[in-house]
Amino acid sequence: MSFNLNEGTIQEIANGGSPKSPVLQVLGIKKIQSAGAQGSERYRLLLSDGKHTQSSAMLATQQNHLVNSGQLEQHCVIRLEKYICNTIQDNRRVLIMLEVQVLGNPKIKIKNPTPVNQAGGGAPAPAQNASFGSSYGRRPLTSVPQPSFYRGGSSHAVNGGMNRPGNQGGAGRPNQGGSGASFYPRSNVAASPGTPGRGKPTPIAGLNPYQNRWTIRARVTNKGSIRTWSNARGEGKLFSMDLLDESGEIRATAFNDQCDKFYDLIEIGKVYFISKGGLKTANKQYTSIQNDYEMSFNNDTTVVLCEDESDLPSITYNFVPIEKLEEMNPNTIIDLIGVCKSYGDVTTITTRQTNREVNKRDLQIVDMSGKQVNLTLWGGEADKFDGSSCPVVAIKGARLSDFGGRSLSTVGSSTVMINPDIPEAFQLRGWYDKVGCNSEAQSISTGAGGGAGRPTNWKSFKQVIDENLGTGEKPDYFSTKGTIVFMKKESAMYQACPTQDCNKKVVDLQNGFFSCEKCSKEFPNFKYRLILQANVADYSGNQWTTCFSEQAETILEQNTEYLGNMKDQDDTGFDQVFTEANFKSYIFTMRVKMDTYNDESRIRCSCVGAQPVDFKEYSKKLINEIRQMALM
Amino acid sequence: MGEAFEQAKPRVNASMLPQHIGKFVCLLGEVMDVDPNGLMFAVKTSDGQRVQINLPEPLEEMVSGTVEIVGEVTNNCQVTCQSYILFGGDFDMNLYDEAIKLATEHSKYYPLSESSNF
Repeated sequence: MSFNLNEGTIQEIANGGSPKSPVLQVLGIKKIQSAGAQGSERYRLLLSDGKHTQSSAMLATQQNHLVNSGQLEQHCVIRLEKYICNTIQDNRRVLIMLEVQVLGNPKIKIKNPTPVNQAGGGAPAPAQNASFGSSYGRRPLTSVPQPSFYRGGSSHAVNGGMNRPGNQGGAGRPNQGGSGASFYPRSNVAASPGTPGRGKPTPIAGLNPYQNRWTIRARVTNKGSIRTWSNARGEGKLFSMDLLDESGEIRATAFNDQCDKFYDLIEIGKVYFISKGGLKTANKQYTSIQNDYEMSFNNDTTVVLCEDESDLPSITYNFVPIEKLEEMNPNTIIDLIGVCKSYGDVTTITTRQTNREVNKRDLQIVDMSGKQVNLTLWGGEADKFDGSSCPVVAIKGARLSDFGGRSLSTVGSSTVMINPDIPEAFQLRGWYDKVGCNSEAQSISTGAGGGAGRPTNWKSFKQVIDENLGTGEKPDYFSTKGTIVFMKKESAMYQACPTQDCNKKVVDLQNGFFSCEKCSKEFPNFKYRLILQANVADYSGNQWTTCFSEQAETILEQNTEYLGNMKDQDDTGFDQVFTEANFKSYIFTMRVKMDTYNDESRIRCSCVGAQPVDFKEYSKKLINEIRQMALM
Repeated sequence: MGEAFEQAKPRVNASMLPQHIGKFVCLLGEVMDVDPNGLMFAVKTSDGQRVQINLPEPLEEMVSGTVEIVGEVTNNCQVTCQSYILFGGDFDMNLYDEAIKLATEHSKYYPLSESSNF
């Protein structure tokens, strides 16, 4: 197979031209690890058109997968479907490859290209320009008093560009940098602050801390709420937003005065010209944005709304399949898309640090990898979520945690989109309606610590034994439909310390006082607590299980205080409660863990959830399982 | 009449009726309409079809909602009702249909009383 490279195109690009879809060869790929930022990498490529080479070529980060997957390697011949050229401060031009198509790999270097003459910076020498122009005998020089991006270089190199006269008439116009024919010829010249729209804006991928005169044209894909801080150095407030253009994305933060000034102006989804601002190395801990830098607004920053926005992409995602989550480090910020298979109710918890009450809601998300993960929504997102129609949920910037296996949680900067208008969502919809809804997904999250979540890891008691659950370092959780067959009535309640949150068993001093060892106090009273030993059976076996207050109350269908009074005053009534509770079935969520007591190891099983059987749900599960078994 | 108690009454949906002509079955459906003379009514079965139920004696009560009929399948795939039970409330016909289809598909594991292999 032979490849024809578009000779001369590199020279053309270097001169400010933008030939359409040039075919080039990759002579080398170098990974550039950004300083400080973890996980972020970029690739710098050495490109050849057979005549010249271009070393300042960066692969846009969204194309990194081509290299990572091995599709794009040394000697590959590629077609640059989409690219931009960015001029950095010394008038050097950096090519950013936005869309690359790999055509093949001849495994050898084609021809013998020489490095292209980069525009070297500084003012052009008019005489030189003139001499070049005349030597070609082509168009007279345009008298645009713009600095040219091409300067110097041997005539050989220039001729390289000239040898392809047919190329859109744009080939070999070395002297016309800035004449308007090129893609981003005047990025940092014309686009001065205050005059947005004139001249081409700088692509986001081209921003760096060494350059301060720029204007970007970007869509706001996310805007956080105003947050305040207070520490030794004073207090203040800030808000962050994510900005996106064709070349990439960046996070920007506005502090104090800027926060007041811009917060109401910035709207999610709108496009703005933004110029001037500080750039610093990004802290990847707080964002999934693929950029080595982040922006902070300062006094000079201007933000102007751009009406014409149709050409800019809307939110871009970097979706991670659920099955990949297990390999990733906790606390990574990721994007995820999946179908909400089931969801819990809104619950309110009080945060430990700030004592604030927040609402949360747990969702179970599945995707085409056949795996399922728990996602916790917080605050407003939790309140307004409606999962009744199994919607496709896309989350930008969710935090991966190792809580209960692997689970996900929204953070302040996360965006949650329900049934977003993107191809991945339609694909998932189709998959779920045909296949996904009928198959049991394997969860990578274990029963949510407190057990409030829905049953996920279904095991029969026999399987629990056969599979040695609970013998590992961490406790195992499983769910089964079980029936109470026996309960130890006598030891079901104990006298506990009346102090709130203590629950320690008190010693009856036989003088009307009860002593708590933990609180080192004596009390005239105690409170009853439930600790119910129950034998639970399913079709495969049975298991002694400890049930604590909440689950024991569910099983006995009475509250603790009432039962305590009964125990003291009404023996028959107390017996009755236990008789009635026998032989009732629940969906149990159990926690099993190896326990060593007096040198004797045994598996201890405690109930962390007991829910009445939802017969429809359970039937669906059984029908699915029968279907699965029938296939085997 | 006593016959019905001696033989198996498999749970069926409307599309299984032709295989059971002349036999007793158990059919579940939603009451659609009742004949004014009370000698027949129609049900929508779990597979969404209309089946006519004929009664030997006129109905003495309102029938509506979910009803389970035990009766004999006639040649034209109607059912001559031998007894019926009215169920109220929340019943998932689709799941029921799935369940009886599975029981038929895997009759080895869901044997009727007449079979002795269980």
